[in-house]
Amino acid sequence: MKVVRSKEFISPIIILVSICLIVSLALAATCYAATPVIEANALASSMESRIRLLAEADSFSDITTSTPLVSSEDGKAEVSEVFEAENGAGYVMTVTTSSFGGKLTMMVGINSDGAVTGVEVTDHSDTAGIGTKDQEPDYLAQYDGLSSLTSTNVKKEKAVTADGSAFEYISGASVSGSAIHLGVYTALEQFAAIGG
Amino acid sequence: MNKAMHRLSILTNGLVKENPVLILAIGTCPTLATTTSVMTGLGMGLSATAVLICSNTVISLLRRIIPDKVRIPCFITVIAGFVTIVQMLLKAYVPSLYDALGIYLPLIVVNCIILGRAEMFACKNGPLDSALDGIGMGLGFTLALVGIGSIREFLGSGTWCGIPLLSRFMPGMGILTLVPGGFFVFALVMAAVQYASRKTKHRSRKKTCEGCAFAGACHELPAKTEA
Repeated sequence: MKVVRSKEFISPIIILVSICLIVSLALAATCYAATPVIEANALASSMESRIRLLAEADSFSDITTSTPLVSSEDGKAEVSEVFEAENGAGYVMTVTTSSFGGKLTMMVGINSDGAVTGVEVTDHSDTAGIGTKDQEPDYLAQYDGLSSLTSTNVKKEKAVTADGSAFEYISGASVSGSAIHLGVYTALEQFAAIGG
Repeated sequence: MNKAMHRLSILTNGLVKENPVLILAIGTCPTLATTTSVMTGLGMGLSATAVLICSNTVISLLRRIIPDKVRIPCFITVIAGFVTIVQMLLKAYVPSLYDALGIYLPLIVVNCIILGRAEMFACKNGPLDSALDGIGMGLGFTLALVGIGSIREFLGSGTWCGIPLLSRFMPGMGILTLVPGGFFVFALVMAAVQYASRKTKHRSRKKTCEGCAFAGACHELPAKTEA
């Protein structure tokens, strides 16, 4: 009876646990080999984004730890990284906001005069084809050249874009649009807090 | 010779005759989601093929050790392990494809094709046959994704593999790159393949009279049947 029980219950448990251990070891080995490459890719990609957003900059230094970071009044948006151009061309802030699909991470370039030089969404979980319409370069270009926003709500924004037209938002995708707008607003507040 | 023919039939089975997507209608979710362009379809197909070959081989090697009671958890553990390895390698070496596949890459773990082949084939056959089955089924899946992806990208975005073709002359039909368009194209391709495969079967039946209910009474039958 005891032998039957051992075959019936203990042997499946031992085999399943052994398979789990072997698979875990294989995963640990792959992770050990791939992690440095993944981290290097992420760093290179972030640096490329920063250079795209602030073309006048030659290189950047990370001043996140030495800067008091700003967050929005409702706590939905907060600056997580601040990079300063070493030639004094401006700053690029990484802002995390709360969007329709969850966390949205974006970068905002601001030149030394305090004007936005570019906005780019680097990570999001929004609906493809709907929320992502707010992330298209044509839509984000309306922030270029603006040095202040009048409202944290994209629907109430009274600022005029660089080409003189009224500020627009995409109906049906305004949650994502609002998240991006709040992100830019918070980045401009961070610039003011730095004393730029 | 017979063994070689048998192995060839295992390899080619998944391409058309038992194509997982177009004939067996499994793996529908990643098919609809990742065929918005040829390259994402190809990436998904090749990733699933790599997992399918590795998991089929390992499960086949372990088939005598794995107890029947815990076979599904064991299969899932092996499959999840391979999917996570592919995921990490893609993130490290092909980050653009990793971003394009999004959530559908980890979802390969619960892809019906992979678990289905483990349960139906790999746990009953040797490692070589199982690897061949994995290659055949994987390539069949990839072919279906690339075929559907080609139609959706060409008509929906006016490009093929990112090369502008139709978009030079007219704007694409945007709906084809969205979910409803995925269903339309999937249904049409499936219907076309079913039609073609039935016609082929019908022809082969005509030649051999195999399966004909009137074979015994037919006057037009060759001498072989009469004998």
